[in-house]
Amino acid sequence: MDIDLTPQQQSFRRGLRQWLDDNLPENWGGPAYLGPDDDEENAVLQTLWERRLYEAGYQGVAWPKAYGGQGLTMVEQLIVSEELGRRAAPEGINTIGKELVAPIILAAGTEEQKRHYVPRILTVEDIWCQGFSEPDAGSDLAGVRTRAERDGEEWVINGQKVWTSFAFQANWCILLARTNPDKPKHKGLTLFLVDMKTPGIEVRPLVQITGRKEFNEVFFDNVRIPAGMNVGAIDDGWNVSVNLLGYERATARLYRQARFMNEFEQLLRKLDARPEITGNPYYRQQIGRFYAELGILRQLNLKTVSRIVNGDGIGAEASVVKLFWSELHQRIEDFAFEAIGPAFVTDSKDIERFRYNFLQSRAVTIYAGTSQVQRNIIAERMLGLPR
Amino acid sequence: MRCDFSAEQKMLAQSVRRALESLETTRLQPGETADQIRPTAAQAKDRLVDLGVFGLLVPEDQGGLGLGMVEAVAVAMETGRAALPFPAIESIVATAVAARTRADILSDVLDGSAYVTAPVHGELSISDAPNTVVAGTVNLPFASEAKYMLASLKNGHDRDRSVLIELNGQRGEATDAIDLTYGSSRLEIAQTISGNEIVDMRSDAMLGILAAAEIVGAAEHCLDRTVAYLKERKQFGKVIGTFQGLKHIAADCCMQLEAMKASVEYAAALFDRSAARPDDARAASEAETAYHMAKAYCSEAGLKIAEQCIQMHGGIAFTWEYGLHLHFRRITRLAGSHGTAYAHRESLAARALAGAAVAGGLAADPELG
Repeated sequence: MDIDLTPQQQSFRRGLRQWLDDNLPENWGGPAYLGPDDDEENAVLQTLWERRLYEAGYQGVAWPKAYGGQGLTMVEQLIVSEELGRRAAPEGINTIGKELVAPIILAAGTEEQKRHYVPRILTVEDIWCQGFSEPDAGSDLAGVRTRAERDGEEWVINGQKVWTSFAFQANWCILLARTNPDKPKHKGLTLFLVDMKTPGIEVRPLVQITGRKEFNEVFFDNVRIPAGMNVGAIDDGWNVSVNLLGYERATARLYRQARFMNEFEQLLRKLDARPEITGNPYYRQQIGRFYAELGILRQLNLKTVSRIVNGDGIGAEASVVKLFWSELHQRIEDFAFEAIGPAFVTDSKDIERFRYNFLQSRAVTIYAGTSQVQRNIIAERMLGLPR
Repeated sequence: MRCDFSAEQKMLAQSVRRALESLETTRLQPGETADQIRPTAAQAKDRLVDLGVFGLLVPEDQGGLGLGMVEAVAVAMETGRAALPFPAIESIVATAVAARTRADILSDVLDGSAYVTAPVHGELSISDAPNTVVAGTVNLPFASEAKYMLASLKNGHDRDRSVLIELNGQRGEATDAIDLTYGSSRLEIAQTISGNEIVDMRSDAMLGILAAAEIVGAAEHCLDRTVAYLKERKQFGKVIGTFQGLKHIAADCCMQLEAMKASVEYAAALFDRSAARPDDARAASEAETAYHMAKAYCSEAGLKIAEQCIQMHGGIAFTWEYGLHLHFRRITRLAGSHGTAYAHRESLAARALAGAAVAGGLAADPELG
């Protein structure tokens, strides 16, 4: 066990804290932390924020310098995540690009793809969406039916994707499509990079439980893309994407823990004026419980990062962390409702943040693999129980 | 950065596991007490002495191993896994206190001839006038063997003073302990001590962290045994481990176990860091928080895992003969000792509410950097 940061890493953290003091959008934090209500205004704020982070050297922290990254390690990535989370900084608009597309291209793309696409993700010249889920391929992702058929020097794509976050803003899509219907269902899939301006693509926003429009339906009607836009080998899309999804599940949003702690703290401050709550053992027990679990979530994150920097792999442990944080987050939001009481349901003034997260957190046990899927993964891969 | 046991620490745990595995399995018959397993306990004690485990936290120049709490939790996970019928963690901590206060008895303690233990629970207070007197009622495991007892003394809110008390043949009254492998007695303590035998040492936190580590090991044993059973047992013509209704319970247990391990390893690492920086108030505060987190979480989650393991087995685990109850009972005893989940959550609530009220708040100073 060696839990301390090096002096260089400590000074990196201090530098970032100062930078955040100087650069966070005005009045950020507290109830204002969600950004503008208007989706377009919010998209502009998130885009500009992401560019500033990049220009200051706080994006692509652990990616190679050759592709626009900072060439540092996952420890520095953890530091950036924690500092951003602790201030509930804007999450940015290109999360799919940063958390999914770039890691896939870095692991499985050609040298040309790496040099072209990865830097453009960091500069937010390209915004990405993820065309994986379909109406009939959710948890059973390998059931994807969107087809890509070869026609000379082109692929012709037909089908429908759904729950496609940021598709409305995105100019690129990473698409999982069936290229060989004769192979077993996991074996005939290929990953493609698709320009969203290609004729035949239609995006229809879906209004979510929160009232915001972040995810979309995307329709592909004879969409023609050039050959050579595949990432990884043809018919190997399942391996390319699924192997990385696990790693990403564990590392992509390390800031969550600090963000939840920030939120928990805002809640405690709100409760501070109500001694009938803060002096009541029933509520104090829950406060103690959530504080412990939030602390332990951080310890699980540290273990994840430690495994990576010390060259041990990340496997099904990622599912343990996902299950832990998602269910914890939901329970904390439920507690916010219970502790705030009737005011929570009658008027969102002053508590908008908690009400928004209460609603939004219903999604966390569904996206990126439902809790039930995570439990299957844990049971089969970590405990070795039969399918 | 490395948030995991080192190769040496894993080897230490392995050697303890090997030494304890070959102990004759405890097969208590209904109505038998810890007295009947005294031969196993004596054997266990000999093995721990051979491995130098009592001296784990004792400096090398005093004849110990000179290791820290991280190594101690690695060992405690093994003693918990074995449901060892011997108070190993109490002895490890009490010996560490002996090294600071009673150099005269240390060699006897290290070679096992003078046995020290610590209360499972009990409140001891200290009064200073006219003499320094430690008094209270404690529940002491293996009191009949013990020559000395460790006392953690309240000093304000925390218990940051420790002292060894000589038992002078006091045996107390045997109690009906839920943990059958851990017979204990109730003792009335009223003892005059010399002030210079008291040392600033968080023996309560050390015991709490090691109790949490024992819970981890015992819960892991329950889950390992249950998973093996789920892979064999058939119903409806199928191995029951294929049923999602059971798989998902097992997966939840696995998740909680991973979280328990992380909490204990981290609490131990922060304790060691704080011990190495006695003047660093922030390090002490972070260690304190991590200790409460670990004991609060492990006490609840460990008990839940053991309980779910019985449920996943079905009737067989409810039998005396199957023996899973020994670990269930042990975890229950550990969850009820060295601060219950309730008590530790209350401490955490006080810290969280106070922390949230200061500028920068709870996450102002993450432990790293």
